[in-house]
Amino acid sequence: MNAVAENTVPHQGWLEAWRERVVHPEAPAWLTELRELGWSRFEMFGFPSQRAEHWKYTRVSALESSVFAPADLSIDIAAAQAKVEQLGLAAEDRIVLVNGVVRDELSQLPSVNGYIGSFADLLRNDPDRVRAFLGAIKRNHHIEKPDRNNLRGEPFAALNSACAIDGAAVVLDNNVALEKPLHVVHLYTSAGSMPRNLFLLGQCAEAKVVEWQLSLGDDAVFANAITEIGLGENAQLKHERVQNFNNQSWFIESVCTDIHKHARYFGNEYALGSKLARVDTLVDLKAPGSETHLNGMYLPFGTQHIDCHTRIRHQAADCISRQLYKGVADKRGRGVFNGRVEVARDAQRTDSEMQNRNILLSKFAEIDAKPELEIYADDVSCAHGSTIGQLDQTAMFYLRSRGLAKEQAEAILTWAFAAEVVETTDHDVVRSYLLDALAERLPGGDKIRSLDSDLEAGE
Amino acid sequence: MLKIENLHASVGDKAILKGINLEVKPGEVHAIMGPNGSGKSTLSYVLAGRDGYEVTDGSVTYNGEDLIEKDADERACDGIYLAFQYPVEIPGVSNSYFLRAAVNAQRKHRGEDELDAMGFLKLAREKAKLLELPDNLMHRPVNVGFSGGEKKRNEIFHMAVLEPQLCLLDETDSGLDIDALKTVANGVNSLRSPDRAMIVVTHYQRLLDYIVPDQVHVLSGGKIVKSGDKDLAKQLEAEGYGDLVAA
Repeated sequence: MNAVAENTVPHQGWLEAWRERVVHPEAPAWLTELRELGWSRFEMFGFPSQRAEHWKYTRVSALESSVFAPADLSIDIAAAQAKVEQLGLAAEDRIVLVNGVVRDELSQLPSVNGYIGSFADLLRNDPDRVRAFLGAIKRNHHIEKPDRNNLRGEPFAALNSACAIDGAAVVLDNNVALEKPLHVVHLYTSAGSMPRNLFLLGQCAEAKVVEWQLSLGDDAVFANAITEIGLGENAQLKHERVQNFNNQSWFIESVCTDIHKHARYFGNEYALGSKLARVDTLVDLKAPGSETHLNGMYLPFGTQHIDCHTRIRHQAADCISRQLYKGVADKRGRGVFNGRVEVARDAQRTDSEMQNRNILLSKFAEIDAKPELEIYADDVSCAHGSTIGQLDQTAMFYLRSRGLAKEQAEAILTWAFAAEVVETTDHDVVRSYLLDALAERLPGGDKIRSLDSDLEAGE
Repeated sequence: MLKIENLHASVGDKAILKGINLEVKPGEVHAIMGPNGSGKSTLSYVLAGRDGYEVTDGSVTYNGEDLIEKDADERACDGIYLAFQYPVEIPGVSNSYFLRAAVNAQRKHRGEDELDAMGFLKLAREKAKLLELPDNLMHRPVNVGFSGGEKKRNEIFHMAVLEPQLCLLDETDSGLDIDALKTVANGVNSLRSPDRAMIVVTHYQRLLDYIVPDQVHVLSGGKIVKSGDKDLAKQLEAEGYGDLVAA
């Protein structure tokens, strides 16, 4: 304890407030240990510097000098309620969290065999279930064997481990299939929040979960989230994540998924930005026949910075992975895509594809793309491609040959480029939210959106 | 309507068209045939105004105006339509949205009122029926997941809705089975009219059994080496391009 307190790191000021808050006298010893481990690792790592390979393009040093003490939990429920309604979720099954804490009065929890609700409650009522799984975080974040030069989200994950007090928990017993999609709505009003989500699906369980990560209002927020996912044999999770913060805010997230035999994880990520966003999507294909499909869209506009890291580890034979990540950057927006696929020696007959495509709409915009493959097996099919560029010239000619002026043709193709990922969603509320965002951001997008709705209405 | 004189054109440094002369009058259907690499598609692109296809000599006059200086969209608004050999897929944009935008761009250019959603859908349905187009094709993203036949039919559908004066059909028959070919040809024939001209570029004589041309031209080495009536196509089918190409 003393060693930790005496350790001097430059960001001590606002972190002290966190340190004080998370002392839980009634917490089980193992949990306290895990928290202490988180603290000590974070103290050791500090905020990652750009010297670390995976933070090369993303500078978080300004976080140290910002002040993000724990957010006030006595918030304006009416504003949060209004937001839920505005999103079109008033009639949907949902877990609503404000500043990282589940609010029952805003939530509508389906009853299932298993558990859906607050992570903190689950921890109180069924600590062993949580304990068995939380160990995964040690592995996923190198907490046992920290490697300073190969840091991803580990410092932030360690900080979250130390500080998290609540989050959304979804635990489905074997063979349970959620009938309706479950929305997990994270709203942040101010200051710092560190939610911890846990999704555990038993054998043959199935669910569709839509996660919303949104700032509410104009205050700067710092959200540092972890979502841990475990899929049992032949389970299936379709997980969509929409992220949209105001331009003062910081969003850091790690999504760590373990996939067991024949299980399938579909992850869609739609990053509409913040001042700075960094998301690590880490998927481990742990047993034969497991499968993952990741789609991503990132739109850094204005002065936003969005960094999407993925890492898929093929750890067993006959697994499949697919990735399609697309970026559009405008003005001084900055995007990063770093996709990594690792194929272990035993992972024969791996079938993996990674596609990353980017468009820059302004000469001041920047996207750094870095696809990486590390393959130790010899019988594999691994394809990857990455492009950064202008619009397809054949498509431009096609549109103009029908009479569309250059500007209009460019607007339609830019829209089409971004909308390809939007069209992969399973949910009308998500599609509509994203298309509204595209309409607002892309040149000529408002017109495309309104004419398209016209035609739908004309049917 | 269209007068091409001594047309030379290059792509990059490569000269492809080397002195083409052709006159097309309203109501006529001209077939351009020729072996691969003879410049058939290049001619379509040059007439439609594709960037990168540079006219180095000669002239193209359309309705009395110089065509060369106009952008592709301006030519389209003036009534030139190119049915693509390989129609482009545009995910995320519905066929009906794209087509309505095109119709309205052209109407605006002509000083006409734009069509509202109802007006457009009425027109589009009418034409879709004519081409026996499956209803859902209109609402799917442009060409995405369409079969080869559907793509070509969709090109003719766009043509039917846009009602151009000069239609350029670039290998519209390639990749089609006989049933799909008949459907496409019926659609094209239904659009023949005394004030509309067509240039049909094809590799195979088969198409010309269904779209019967007024004149047939053989393109080889960037020049028209022979012209004749519809019987020329039959003769080519029987004898091949051999002698013509060697010449």
